[in-house]
Amino acid sequence: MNKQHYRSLLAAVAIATLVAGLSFTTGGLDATDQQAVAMIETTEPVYDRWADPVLQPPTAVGETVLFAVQAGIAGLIFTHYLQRLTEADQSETDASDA
Amino acid sequence: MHIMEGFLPPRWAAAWTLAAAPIVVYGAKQTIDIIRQDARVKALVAIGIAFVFILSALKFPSVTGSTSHPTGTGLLVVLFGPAVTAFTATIVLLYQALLLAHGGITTLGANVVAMGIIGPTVGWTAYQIIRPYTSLERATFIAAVLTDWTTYLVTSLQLGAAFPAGDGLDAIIISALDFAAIFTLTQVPIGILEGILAAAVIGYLTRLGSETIESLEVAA
Repeated sequence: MNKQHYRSLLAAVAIATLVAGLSFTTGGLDATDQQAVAMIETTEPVYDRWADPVLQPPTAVGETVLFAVQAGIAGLIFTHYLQRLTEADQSETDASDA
Repeated sequence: MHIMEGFLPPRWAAAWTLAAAPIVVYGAKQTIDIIRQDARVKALVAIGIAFVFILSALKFPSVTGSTSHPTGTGLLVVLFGPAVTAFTATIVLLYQALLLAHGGITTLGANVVAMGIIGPTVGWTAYQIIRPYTSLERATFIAAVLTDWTTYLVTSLQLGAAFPAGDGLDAIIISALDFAAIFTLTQVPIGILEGILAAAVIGYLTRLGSETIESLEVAA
C-alpha cells in the first residue's frame, strides 16, 4: 500500500466513524421521515399501506453499520479521486515548468 | 425526505415514477458520456457522486428532537447539472430503499423527483443566475442550500397532494404546509451546513490547478 491508499483508507474510516457516531448518539430521536408517516396515520387512519420495505435492518446497530458502510466506501472513492486530481494537476504544472 | 415504502397511494406512486424515469435515463446516458471525456472529468464525477453518498448517510439531530439527513446533491448540481444528479440520486435512494428501509421502491419515483430532479433544478437555476455576480464558492453555497430546502419542500407538496386535508387545491396546500412544518426546523440548519460543505469542496477543487477550474467552468 502506498501513501495515497493509506490516506484514502484513513479518510474512509474517519467518515464511517463520524456517520456511526452521529447515528448512535441520535438513536433515541425520531426521524422526520417517521414523523411524516405518523402524520399520515393521524390524518388518514384508514390508509392501507400497500407495500412494505424489502429488508428491514434487523437492529438499530445494523442500520448504523449499513449507513457507515455507505459513507465509508464513498469516503474511499472521494479521497482516492481527489488525490488523483491533485496528482494530475501537479504533474501538469511540473511539465509546463520544465 | 424519504417518503416511506407504501406511503403513497398507487396512482401517485405510478405518476411520480413515470415522471422521473425519462430524466433518470437521460441522466444515466449523460453521466456515461461525460465520464468518457477524460480522466479529470471522470474524477470530478466520482467526487461529486461520492459526496452525495457520504452526506446522505449523515444523520443530524435538531433542537426539535428529531433527526434528518442532508441530500448532498449540491456539489454535483454545480459541477454537472440536474440530469447527472437525478441519476446519482436514484442509485443512492435505491440502496437506502433496498437495504435500509429508508424510502421505498413504490416511492422511489417521488423521492427521485424531489431529491434528484426538482431540488437540483432549482439549485442549478439559481446558480446560473447568480454566478456572474458572485464568487464560485458563494454561488455554490446558495445552490446547495436551495437544492436541499427545495427537496424537502417538494416532499411536503407530494405528501400534501396525496393526503390533502379535504377537497380542492387549498386543502393540498394546507396539508403540504403541515408536512413542511415537520421538516422545516430540522432542515433549515442542515441545508446551510450542506451549503458550507459543498462550497468548501468547490473551493478546494479550484485551488488544485488551472485545468480543473477550466473543466469546471465548462460544465457550469
